[in-house]
Amino acid sequence: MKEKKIKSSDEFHFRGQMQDEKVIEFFRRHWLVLLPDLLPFLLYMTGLIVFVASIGSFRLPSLDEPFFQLLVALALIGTALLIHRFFLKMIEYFMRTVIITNFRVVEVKKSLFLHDDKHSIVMKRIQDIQKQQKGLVKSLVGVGELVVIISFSDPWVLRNVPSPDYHYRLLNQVRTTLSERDHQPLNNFSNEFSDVKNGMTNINRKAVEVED
Amino acid sequence: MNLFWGTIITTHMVSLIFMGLSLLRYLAYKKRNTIIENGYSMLLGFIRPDHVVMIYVGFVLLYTVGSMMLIFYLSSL
Repeated sequence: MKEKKIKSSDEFHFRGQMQDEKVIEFFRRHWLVLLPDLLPFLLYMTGLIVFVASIGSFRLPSLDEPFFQLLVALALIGTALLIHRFFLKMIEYFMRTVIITNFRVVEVKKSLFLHDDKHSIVMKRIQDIQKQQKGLVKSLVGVGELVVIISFSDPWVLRNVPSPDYHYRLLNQVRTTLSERDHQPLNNFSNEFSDVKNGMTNINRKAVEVED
Repeated sequence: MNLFWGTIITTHMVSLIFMGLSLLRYLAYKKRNTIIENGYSMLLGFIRPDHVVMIYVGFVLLYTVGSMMLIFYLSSL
């Protein structure tokens, strides 16, 4: 009976996932990165709601006036652009992920229409990981940077990582587990090597006995 | 008056079509990415991407209806 080579879709969780690659953890950037977009949007919406609620108290010109028509049309187009831009940014926030698997770390920078970037680094190439958490705000809300030192390449900085302590420990744990697994065949090899060595000694002994 | 109404209707149509396209793109993305959400992936620990998309749809519909009602109100002045 032929073995089914193609895995079921349940085992593939992201595009580009390899065979036998298991997702250990994934995270998105900290919510702090949304504040520069969120605050102006909330302010504008609050102003708009207050204006609409108290529209009766304003003495507005007739909509037949061309200048007022232009003003209303511009305000509507501007508001539509603002709403779409804000929600696209929000959705983009959710589409930008960092995935830790048993083989590699993958950073997916994707947006709905414009970007589709992926950057991954194999665990074996990671030499060291540094956790950086500078500043009072970053310490208070639990956000930091993970600097991944890669052999023969520039360091890779994962910015705005939530709970950097946890992810730092997790990455180190995965690396340790992988390196322990990698040492397993080496041990076997050394055993095999010692067997070969004993065999060679026995042959030498026999050769000496024959000479005697 | 015709140019004004034409601009308003075009704006809303483009807005709704753009939202529909965004929704389709998001659903296609969701189909390909099935990683189970956890506390570190959700916004503030409980907001899922589906929630944001639902708010987006609601917001755009509310904006479309609300702005039309506002224009009808202004034209009645």
